[in-house]
Amino acid sequence: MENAIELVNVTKKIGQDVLLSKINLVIPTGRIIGIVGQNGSGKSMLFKAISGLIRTTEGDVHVWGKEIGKHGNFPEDTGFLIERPGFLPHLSGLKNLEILADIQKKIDRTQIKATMSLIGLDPDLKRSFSKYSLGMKQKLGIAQALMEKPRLLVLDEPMNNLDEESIDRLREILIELNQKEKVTILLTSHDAQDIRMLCSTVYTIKNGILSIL
Amino acid sequence: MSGGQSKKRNGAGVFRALIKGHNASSMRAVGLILFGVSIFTYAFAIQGVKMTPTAAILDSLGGTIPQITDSLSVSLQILPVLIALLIWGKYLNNELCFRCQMILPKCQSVSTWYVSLLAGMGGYSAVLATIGLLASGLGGLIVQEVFYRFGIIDTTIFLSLTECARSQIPLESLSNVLLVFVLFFLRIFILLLVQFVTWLISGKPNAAIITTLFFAAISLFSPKLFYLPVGGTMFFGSVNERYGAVTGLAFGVMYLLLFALTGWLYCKKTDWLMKFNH
Repeated sequence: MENAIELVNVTKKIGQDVLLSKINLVIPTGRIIGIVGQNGSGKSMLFKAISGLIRTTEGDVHVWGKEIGKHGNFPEDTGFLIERPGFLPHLSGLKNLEILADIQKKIDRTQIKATMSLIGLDPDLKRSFSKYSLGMKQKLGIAQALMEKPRLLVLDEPMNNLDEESIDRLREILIELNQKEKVTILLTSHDAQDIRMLCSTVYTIKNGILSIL
Repeated sequence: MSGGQSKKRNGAGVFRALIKGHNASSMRAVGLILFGVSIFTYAFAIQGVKMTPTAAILDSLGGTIPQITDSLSVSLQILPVLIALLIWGKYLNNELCFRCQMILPKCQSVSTWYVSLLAGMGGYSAVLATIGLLASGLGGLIVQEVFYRFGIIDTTIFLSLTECARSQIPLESLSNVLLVFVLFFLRIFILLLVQFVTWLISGKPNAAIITTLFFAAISLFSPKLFYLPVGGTMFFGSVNERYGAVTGLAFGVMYLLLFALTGWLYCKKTDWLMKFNH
């Protein structure tokens, strides 16, 4: 079976700082993999390398068998949540997602609404994004990653700002997506306990060095 | 699972997704201020420039205006605006960067993103420039004509529209009309130059883009800002349209080259650009 992600000796340096150090990682299709690490350990940088938002100094990143930067700038069929999503503050959550969905035109309004409801957001809420709570903003970011039904989900600290109930719900959603739709999921957290419950394999990253936990 | 992934991206969608409504209220506020400043600057006619709104309209249409003597002062007025835009561009960059993190992967390719954005900005700029030419010219004209009628402004320096039309302002030659069209399109390339310079100074491609957008918005309120540099008057201190045409075309070639260069950098040197961003 095809691997979802393959990282070969991925190194990222900015100036003298080594942010990622010779990372090798293979994520087979249909798995949920977790990465834990403290703030500044390199989690987000690793995700940016996978998503094509940065190029590695050394090494290769392959997603769905295609090398990022060689066979395309960004991975295909992948939903991302990296850092803080930059939604337009004066528009509603639904409108924000509609604008984003307009780029690829893969889904319609009904599907966007369904994703919002699934994640626990009211799609008909007229409130602008700027008036959303932190938890609602996070949910909208997750909805953005999920809505186009990608085969691979790359979620950077998806549980941030969510209450216990919402965390439980998100876990259920991710497990369901993984088991029923065979979606491969890579997620990070600074809370090891948080993702041990979800992931078949958990890695830890410290000072840009990845090791299995 | 992928729902029949489309290879063809929606260019307009990319542009809308990146720009639509971004800091719209701030843009409106700045726009209103600039509009007011523009009207009153034109109405009172800055002494260094000695250009009335009437003259500005005729000048923009390709007529020769005998009263512009100091185009340098125009360029000096541009300077603080440029600095403010650079600072604003840097300030906005982080927010826009977060937005790009969502949008770029959906575009699938940087070139799709870049071309969509430029095409969108080109169209946007063209519309703004057209509206701006009319809005600032006509707005200033009304104020100036009123002031002129009431004898508030100096009639030895300023001319009313009717007197301008009656006396020495020619809108005559085909070359002038063509020049207007050339200059109009070159304005768009000026935006690209600004984008390039901003990017070089700030080191942030996103800052360059948002700054360019603001610059486009400013063209709404001050078409001269783009017109004079293109005509070459800023550099040669001359209002002679023939020199203006030659230098304008020369700048046009330069802007085209810059357009190609920035496009190439965006599309082929993403890594280098991203390095600045993170």
